[in-house]
Amino acid sequence: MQALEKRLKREVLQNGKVEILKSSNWCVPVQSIDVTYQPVKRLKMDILMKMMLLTFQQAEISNASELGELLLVEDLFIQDLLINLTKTGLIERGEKYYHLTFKGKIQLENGVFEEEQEIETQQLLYSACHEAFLTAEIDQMDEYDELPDLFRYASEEPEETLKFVEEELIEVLQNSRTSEDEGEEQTVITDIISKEARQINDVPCLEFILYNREQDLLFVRVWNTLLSQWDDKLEKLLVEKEVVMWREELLKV
Amino acid sequence: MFMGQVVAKIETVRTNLIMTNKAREGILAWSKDEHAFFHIQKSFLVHIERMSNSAQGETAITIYFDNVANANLAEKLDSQVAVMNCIVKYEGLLATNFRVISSRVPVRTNRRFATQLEFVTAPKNTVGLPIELHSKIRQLPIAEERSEYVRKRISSWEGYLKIQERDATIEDMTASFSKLSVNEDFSRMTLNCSGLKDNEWNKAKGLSAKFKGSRDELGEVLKVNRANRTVEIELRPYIREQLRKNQLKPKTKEVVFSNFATLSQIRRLRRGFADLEKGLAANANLEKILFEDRPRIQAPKKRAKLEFHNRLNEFQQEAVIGAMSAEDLFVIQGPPGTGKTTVISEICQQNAKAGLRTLVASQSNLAVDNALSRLLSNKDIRILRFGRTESIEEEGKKFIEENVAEYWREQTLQDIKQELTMHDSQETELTATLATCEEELQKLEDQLVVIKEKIVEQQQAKLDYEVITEEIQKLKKMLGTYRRELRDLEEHFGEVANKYEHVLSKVEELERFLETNETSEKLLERTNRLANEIEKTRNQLLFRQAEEELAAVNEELNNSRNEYMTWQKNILELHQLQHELKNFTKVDELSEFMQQYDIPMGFIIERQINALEKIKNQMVSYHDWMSVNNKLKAAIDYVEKQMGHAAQIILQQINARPEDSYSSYSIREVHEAIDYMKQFLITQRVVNPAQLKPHLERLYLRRKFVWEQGTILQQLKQEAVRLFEMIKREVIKQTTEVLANAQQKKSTLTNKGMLLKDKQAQLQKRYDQLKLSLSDGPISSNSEQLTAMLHKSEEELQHVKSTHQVVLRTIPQLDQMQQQHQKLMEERTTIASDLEEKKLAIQEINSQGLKQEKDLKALEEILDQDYEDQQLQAEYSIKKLTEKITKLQHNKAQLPIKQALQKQWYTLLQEANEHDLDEIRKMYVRHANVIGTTCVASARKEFMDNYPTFDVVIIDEVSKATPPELLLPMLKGKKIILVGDHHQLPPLVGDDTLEETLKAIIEESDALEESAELKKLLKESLFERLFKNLPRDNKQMLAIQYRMHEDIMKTITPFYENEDDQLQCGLIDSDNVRDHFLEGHYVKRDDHLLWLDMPNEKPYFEEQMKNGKSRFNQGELDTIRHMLLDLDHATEMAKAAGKIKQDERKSIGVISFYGEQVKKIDRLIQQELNLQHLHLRTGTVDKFQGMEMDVIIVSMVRNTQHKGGDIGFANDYRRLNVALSRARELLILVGSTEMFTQRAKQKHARDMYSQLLETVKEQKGLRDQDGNVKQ
Repeated sequence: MQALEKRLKREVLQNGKVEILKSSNWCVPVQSIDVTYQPVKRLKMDILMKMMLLTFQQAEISNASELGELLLVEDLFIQDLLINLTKTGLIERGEKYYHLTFKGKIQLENGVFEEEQEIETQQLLYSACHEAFLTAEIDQMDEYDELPDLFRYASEEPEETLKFVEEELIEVLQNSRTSEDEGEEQTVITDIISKEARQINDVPCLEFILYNREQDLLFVRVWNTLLSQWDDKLEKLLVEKEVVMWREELLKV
Repeated sequence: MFMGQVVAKIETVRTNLIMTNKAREGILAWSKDEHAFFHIQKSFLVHIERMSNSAQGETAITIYFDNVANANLAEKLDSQVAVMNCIVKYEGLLATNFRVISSRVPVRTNRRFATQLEFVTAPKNTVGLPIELHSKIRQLPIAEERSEYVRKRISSWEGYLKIQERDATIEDMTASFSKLSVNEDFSRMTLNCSGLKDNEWNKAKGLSAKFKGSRDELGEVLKVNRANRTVEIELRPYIREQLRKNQLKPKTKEVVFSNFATLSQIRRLRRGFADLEKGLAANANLEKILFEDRPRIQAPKKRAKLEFHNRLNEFQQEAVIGAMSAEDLFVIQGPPGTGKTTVISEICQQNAKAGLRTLVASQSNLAVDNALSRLLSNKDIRILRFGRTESIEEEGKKFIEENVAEYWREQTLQDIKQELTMHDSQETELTATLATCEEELQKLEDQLVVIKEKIVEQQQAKLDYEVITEEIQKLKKMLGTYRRELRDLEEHFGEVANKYEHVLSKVEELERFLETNETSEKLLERTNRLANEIEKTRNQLLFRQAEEELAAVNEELNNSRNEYMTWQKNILELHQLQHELKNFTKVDELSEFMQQYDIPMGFIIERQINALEKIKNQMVSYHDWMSVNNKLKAAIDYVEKQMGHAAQIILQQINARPEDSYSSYSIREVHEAIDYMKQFLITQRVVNPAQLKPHLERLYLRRKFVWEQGTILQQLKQEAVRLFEMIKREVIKQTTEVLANAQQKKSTLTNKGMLLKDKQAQLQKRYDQLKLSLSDGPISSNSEQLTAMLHKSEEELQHVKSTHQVVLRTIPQLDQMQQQHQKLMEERTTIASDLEEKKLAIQEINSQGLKQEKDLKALEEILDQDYEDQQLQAEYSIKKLTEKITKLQHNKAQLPIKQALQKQWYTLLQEANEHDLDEIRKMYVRHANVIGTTCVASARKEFMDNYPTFDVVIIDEVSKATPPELLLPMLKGKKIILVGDHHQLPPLVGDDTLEETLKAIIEESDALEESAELKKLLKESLFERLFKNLPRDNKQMLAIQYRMHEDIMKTITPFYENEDDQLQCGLIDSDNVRDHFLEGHYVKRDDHLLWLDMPNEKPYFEEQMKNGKSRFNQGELDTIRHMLLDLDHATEMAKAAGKIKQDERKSIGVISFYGEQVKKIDRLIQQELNLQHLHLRTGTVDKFQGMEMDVIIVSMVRNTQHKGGDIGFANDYRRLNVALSRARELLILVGSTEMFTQRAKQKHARDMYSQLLETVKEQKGLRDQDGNVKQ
């Protein structure tokens, strides 16, 4: 910890015009949540095309604008795809309505078919101070002997977590998955099986209140050990709440 | 122009082609001969360009073969461009050269004419050159001339590029750096550099920096401090990120500066010039629009009729209609807050509806994003934002290519969601509709039955109709006859009546006449009475006449007697006097005598008397001569006595002189000679004779003359006596004659007396007779009166007689007339009764006819109905309705399926991941119809390739872009719409306006020519010129603003005073909708416009940075600090009072004319103030153009007492206009009124600020620096 602090101080003072008025350490609480889901594997198929095939299979559609009206999609798109699907022989126009060809049926079946994958569980980290999920591995964080006090703006009470919208979680999960080239197929998360709040992790942060005398400028640097970076969110939060106070307290002397 | 037409419809034209050897040679490189070559395709799409005429005056053209459309040719030539030079001849085209050039050369330009040509190469064929092709070629402009024209005109724009090129270095610069430090929020990096050459330091500013060996650009050089050897770089977001993570590790300690961005920008601008020159503008008219003083614009063919998607005011509607109707160009002037973005949005929507693709371009990314974000979300509009992601604002980000699919997904989801909410009602609705349709169908079928019945009825009616028509025909014929008869009768009646009237009037006239006159008897009696009277008067008259005659004769007789008596007396006297005549001595006595007795003078006497008179006259001087002679005699005597003998000698001498030797003398001269001598004698006391000699001589000479005169006079006297005697004798002779005549007169007089006596006797007799015949008493009147009486009576008699005659004639006439009258009256009555009868008959026929016609009409109505058509229609409607019902039934059947599908679609779309949307994205991009980008980015290659032209190009904030920047998007538009406001700021170069930069360059520049060229640019504002010179149909000012409280608007209305329309406030109740709810120390609820007047004294003076030109003002900063705290507090209070929502923040912009002041304000806000209730934004006035805030504080900075002090940037009215027009609710000016209204150097500036001060005062908005009310 001290070594880190030393390194950071050096780095901060690289700007010769800056002096450190005050430095402190504290912890930000980060909630870890285990999310369980079952991803599925399916053929890559553009959804509008899939939807059109589905529609032709189930409903009686005689022209593009009828389909456009049904799907609330602009006719130009529908026309484009109609031409495409007709050309590739997936659909054909019957006496009155469009219908799928044999090839089209197979294609649709393949597109709709989802191969269920192993159930997976993933841990997500949520910081109430940041009001965001943090992308980092909590396990890879350095161990510290003594944890400093809690951040002065962190709530002591654990958050009433897990009120997240499912889509938001899926998006976070999907983004956090390393996408490997799966060729014609893709693995997608369609829904969450369960989510479970685990422990609250205290993430140490190092705060330096800085002063640029030349410009009469007060600012702050906060190193987030979990993210291994200067945390702009927390910096902004502190400046907004305290900069006027710093001027009064730290520069009066 | 012609391009538009040709592109729309290309017809194939056949023409003969004749090859020269040279051209054939060119062909042979690609084919065995020309016949083979020109037969690889039936026809070719070619682009014909007209060249300057050949030396022989023949029309020369160049044919460019399209290297895409001509598939076979493209394959053969590997997509290169075939070019053929030709001469236009009547027998066909004569090819003079053929070559193949690079595929990069554009074939389609606006100076070429595209057509499908079929070349006939067989020499025997005589197709010739079609006349239409010939005339098309003749209409083409000569391409080289157009290029030359553009080249010349556009050279005047070079200056703009020069400004940009000013500091541009082509070479990259490398420097090593020792230290790297980052500012508080990792947005800027400062490098301590070494190794830059002296001249390189200044050039580094604005360049892009990166570490040597690294691919990632760090950012742009913001500031260079040569003294400290530091370079400050504004970092890109990616680099900031890296720095935060401590991951930015330069491989070497070297930094490279390059100005690739600037250079590529200049390159693009230059390419714009070249493209215009080559005729690559989508609109061929563009070059004229840009360069003609009064561009000729195609008038709109007709005004578009539009339905609007946005709520637009009249000006906005006009602008949209104008823009949609315009052919080439439309210009919109949009003062602050007048809703130009709404107009742009509406135009985009209208274009989308019309299937047109629109480019929305602007000088700044912000303006592009602003315009795009206001477009209504509508599935007909597919917006695409093109540009570098990092420079695109939040509002525009959803439209960038990588986000459009997501945007589309959201829009579509929203639409489906709404649709889903209606699912439940859809079935009921559908069922209801179905029921209504079926009901309607039943109705229609019922109608059909009725119609069919009607058709039967109609057939019967047709028969009836014919019968009645015939009937009516008959009646009409009868009616005709009757009418004719009636007409005759009427005519006859008229005649009789006329006659009757005539006779009647005559009778009346006669009767009246008889009434007014006496009867025949009375008249006769009167005649007789008058005759008697006349007789009596006549007699009286005769008597009177006789009486008078008698008196006259008596008198005459008397006269005659007297005459005789007188005569007798005269004769007696004459006898006596005749004897005395001899004694008469004087002529006068003779004359008197002759006169008295009437003795005629006679010719002889008269002559003799005249002669005598003559002599008498000559004799007048006789006595004078006698006296002078006496006097002379005395004188001579005296002298002779004195001289004695000597006198004798002198006398002899004198007498001896010849007769004519002496002269004549007047009496006076003789007297004088005597007097002279006398005088001599008196003066000379002693006289000797010798002295007297001349005197005596003189006297002798005179005496001689006097004596001669005396002789003459004696002779005359004798003659006179002789004459007198002769006269006397003559008179006596005459007298004797007179006496002899008198004897004769005696008998005449006696005879006359006898005659008169006889007459008297006769008259007396007659008189006596008449006297006796007069029986009545004495006569009172004289003869004249009697004559008059007689005349009167005779006239009366005459009149009475003639009247009597007339009366006698009239009586039988009257009788006759009365008879006639009676007859006519009877006739009239007869005819009248005939007439009445006829009329009744006609009436009868008419009423019969009317009845028939009414029947007929009823039938007609039946017949008029096109029941067959109705039947057809009904049948058609039934068919349609049946179809509709079938469809509805189908829909009803399909409804659950479709609803299920929609639900499925909703889920699918919700779950859609990146990959799913990829196809959508491609499709979206392919069909995007509103594309937004900056002017300069519109010329990027990637963009040019994807979107070579647009149907419509809208350029926003035109006044902020330079003409070369504007040219880039303009080149792409078939129609161009410019939106701007030349009363706001012109283009910016760095922190300065273009004009300020130009002035700086001109000052620096040594070359006169260059500075003259640059000065020209200062005058030219493309937008202003176009707006002023375009016809009304092609421009519109938006004159209603919705941003500012009316009080704030008043500060800028003067800037628009000279426009056609005055700036108006569109807010219906400014106080209500622009209520700021603030009540503090400085600001009261009613205030909307304040000026805090800074004293023109220390410590309120401006200050200048040591090493920069920018200025700041500490006094104003202090005031602003208090002001902001006050506003924050006032907002808090307003929240507490529930006037402002708890989570809301008052948006406040603090702006200044000076960058340094802005920086200080920034620091103040960030470091020293904790304003919880305000949302603050700061910036220079220039940067704030296009933005709006609830409250604006303007820090005016300039304030000094220096003689040379002025207001710098604040002189520009456009900058002031922008500064004043940013605020919605409250505008606060902080600055010295004295400085701006009195000390400013330029009069126009003083006037401008004085007017502003007046406006502030009118609203009682002037305060001192502490916010106290000032008068």
